[in-house]
Amino acid sequence: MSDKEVMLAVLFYGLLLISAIFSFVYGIICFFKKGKPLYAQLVTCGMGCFVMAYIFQILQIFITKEIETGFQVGNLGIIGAMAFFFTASFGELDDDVDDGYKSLRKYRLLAFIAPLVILIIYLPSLFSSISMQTKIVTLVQFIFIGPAAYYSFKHLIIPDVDVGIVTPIRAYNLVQLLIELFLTLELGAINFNGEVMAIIFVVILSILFVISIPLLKKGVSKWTRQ
Amino acid sequence: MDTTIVSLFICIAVPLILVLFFLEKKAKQTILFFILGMFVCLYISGINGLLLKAFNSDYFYVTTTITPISEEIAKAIPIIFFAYVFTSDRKTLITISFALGVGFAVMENAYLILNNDDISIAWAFVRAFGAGLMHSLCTAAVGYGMSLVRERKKLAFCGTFALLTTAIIFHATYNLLVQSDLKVLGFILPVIAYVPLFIFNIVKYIKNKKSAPITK
Repeated sequence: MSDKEVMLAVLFYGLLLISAIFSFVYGIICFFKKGKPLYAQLVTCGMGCFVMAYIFQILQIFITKEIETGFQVGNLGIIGAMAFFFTASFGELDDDVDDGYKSLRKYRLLAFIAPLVILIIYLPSLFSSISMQTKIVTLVQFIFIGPAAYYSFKHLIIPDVDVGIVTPIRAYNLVQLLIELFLTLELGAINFNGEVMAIIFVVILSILFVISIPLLKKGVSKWTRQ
Repeated sequence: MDTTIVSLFICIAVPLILVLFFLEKKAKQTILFFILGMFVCLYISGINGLLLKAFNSDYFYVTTTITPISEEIAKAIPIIFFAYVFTSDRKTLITISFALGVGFAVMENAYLILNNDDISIAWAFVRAFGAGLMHSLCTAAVGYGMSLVRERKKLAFCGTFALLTTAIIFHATYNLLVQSDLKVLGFILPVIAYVPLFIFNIVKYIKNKKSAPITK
């Protein structure tokens, strides 16, 4: 890689890093106190995973002067973040949102659209010129993005039966779903060497990172008021 | 495996094991996990040697990508086991995690001293602060998280995995930095992560002392 390419890659990962740091620090200030919901703490930890992944990726590019296309630890950051988002939605929130009523069945099924879209975005990567190792790494990332996207979409469309939990955080759930979608698109664009598209997705992702935690704070504050 | 390092482990671990029977529960747990940390280091050094061979002795790739994964998983297993079988008490889990991390770091530093001729007091300080803190913090993060996720079964699997990935990335970033021109930054990284926690604990301690009733 030339110095210019290195600087460009560092610049764009830097943009993602700064926005993720903003969200992470804001989340720590707002949610890491006694009595604050574990759901919000887990989401903040997810943002922390993004921060660490981008720090690693920037340093690796800066030190080795090349972008590692196969497996690298930075990939684990996305996987870890998705695992945190999934844990927050499935482990912490879903029991209160979905009691297993038959009337909610259609929402449960409709929510499968999100992982399906993720899968559709991934499929072309199988036929790109990237190495088999990169294809597998991308697939593993998508495997973790899929379930997280399922619950983001489910909590976006499911009606609040009586508890009033999902309505206040619908805006946040939409942003989280968009993060998962644009992350997938960015990975796809990188696999097809679509640099311009990747840059656009990076900028959109940065904006989404910045607004996610403030939106979550707004929603969660309505929980605590009830 | 190198007999010198095994001998070193025996020399440190045996007296500690013998003293275990005379200690109180908390001290016993701490010492036990310190020994366990040293054992994990000994065990994983053998595994890492095999991994290095498997990856054509590409030392940089293995230490920045593979060993952080193997080491963090090996360190997390005893903590996860303890959290699931015995207790989810946060204080206990953090204490034993720190002890395990420190045990691991002590053994690793001892191993490096034995295999490195170019040792200085400055090197020792840098290793002690850098690797010592890094290993303890990574393991403590898993311990802290286990206390959160252990109580809810639905949180457990993914939560544990997510915490492990966090520890792995932190470890890999440290390994990446210490092998580059940004070495100093690598040794500062664990200190940067440690200082806020240290200040937080001190503030908490002072607050607790102030609010505690005075007893004669």
